[in-house]
Amino acid sequence: MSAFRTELKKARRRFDLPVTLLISLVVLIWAAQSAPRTADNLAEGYSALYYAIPLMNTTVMPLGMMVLASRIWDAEAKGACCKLLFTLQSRGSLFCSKAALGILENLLVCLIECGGILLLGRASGYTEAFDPTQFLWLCACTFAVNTMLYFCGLFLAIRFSNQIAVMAVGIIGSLSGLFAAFLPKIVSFFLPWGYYIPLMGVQMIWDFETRIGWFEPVPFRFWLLGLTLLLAVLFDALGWNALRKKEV
Amino acid sequence: MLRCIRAENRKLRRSAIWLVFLILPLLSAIYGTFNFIQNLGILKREWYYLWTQHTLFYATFFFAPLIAVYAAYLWRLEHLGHNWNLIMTAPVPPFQLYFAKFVVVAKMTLLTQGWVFALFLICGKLWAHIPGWPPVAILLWMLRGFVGGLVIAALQLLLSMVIRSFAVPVLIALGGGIGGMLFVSKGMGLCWPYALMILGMNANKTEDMVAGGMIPFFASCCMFSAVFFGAANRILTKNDVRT
Repeated sequence: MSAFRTELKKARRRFDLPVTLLISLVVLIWAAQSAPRTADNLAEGYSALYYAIPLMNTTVMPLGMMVLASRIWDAEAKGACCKLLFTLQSRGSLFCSKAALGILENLLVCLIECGGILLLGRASGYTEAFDPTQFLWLCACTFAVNTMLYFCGLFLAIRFSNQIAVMAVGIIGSLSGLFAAFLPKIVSFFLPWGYYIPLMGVQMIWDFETRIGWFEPVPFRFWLLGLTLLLAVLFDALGWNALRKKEV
Repeated sequence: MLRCIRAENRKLRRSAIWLVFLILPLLSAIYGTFNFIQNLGILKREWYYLWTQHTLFYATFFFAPLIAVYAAYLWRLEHLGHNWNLIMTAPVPPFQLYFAKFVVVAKMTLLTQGWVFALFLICGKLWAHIPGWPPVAILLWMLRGFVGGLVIAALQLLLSMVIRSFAVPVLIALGGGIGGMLFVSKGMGLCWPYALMILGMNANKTEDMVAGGMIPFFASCCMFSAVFFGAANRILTKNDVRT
């Protein structure tokens, strides 16, 4: 617990809260700008959001989570202070407190984003009935994929002293995840950075002849959510292993 | 000044930054050409239409973070250990340190644009089998995109100098790029530094967005650059060393 309190103190000095706010606000401002305006569109406003938010998350979150992970490990990397730290606390407590802080910050990102969706729906006057199942599914999936990406970032940040590796994976992950949205569905299952998209609870049906699009619910892919959590555990284990074997 | 530039260039040798430089435009080109071929029912087999697909996401979302990585990498080394004290005691005016980094990032930006254009040509000729050669206008858009990219480089160098973190300026660049897309869609691209590159590159458009507005475009680039240079100069000369 004291290790976690120390991490919280470090987070205050690192301005983690503004970074967390920035990540979620980028998505929300983008969503607000693309929000439906006409009466026809307002009738499917929430469905449009449940479709658009995962696309925006795919663009922002892989890089955002890598930034969080890099920030959380940055003080130790820049100051080369692992040697000193390991004489004061166990490697296990350091890793656990950093993992817990990352999950907490990620939870905050998700809460702001989900709160923003509700607020956006209310402010824009969506006439579509609010579906709590779809909403909770979106929140759960966003949190799960974010957590997996955070642990991936933490592993890379610990493993490579040069933070460019974390940022490179974040940018390339964002780009490839976004592309997966427009490629055959099977491709998206092989790109964990873009799991927001195959985990969507709605799909867009586009009629080329009439040029009219509409949204339809799709069955939730529980197996993919399970796989995401499994990958999160795997990256967590890799991160812990990297810290355990880190030479100081 | 030349010695400063040479020193900055040396920092890029054997750097992992070249991997990002190679992979990001390559991914964008592969996806752009694949999408172009898949949508040939809607798009025409012409260079302009391939351009829309190549620049669709790259210019809007990922060019600014790429420049941000270049800038953050160069400043990162100064933020490590006591290097900040060392460079501030170097026998050169402090602004030259910033400007030398700007020249190196500008070089990297130009190389990136060249690599994007080379990929555009290769994909167009060998994969999409587009007849003829790309119009000169596209080459000019590339160069105009480079000018817009310089503004982003100046801003990112300033941010990376002030924010002593590698990651945060890159996230700001992504947010700026998304903001740029929104500004361009509202017709206010000239008011936002991150939108200038999107305008210059004519991203995802077959008609020239800057047609008839070249002077305001270049004036906006000059004005923003001057503001960022001025801010960097003031911070470097007036602020005390912090470690």
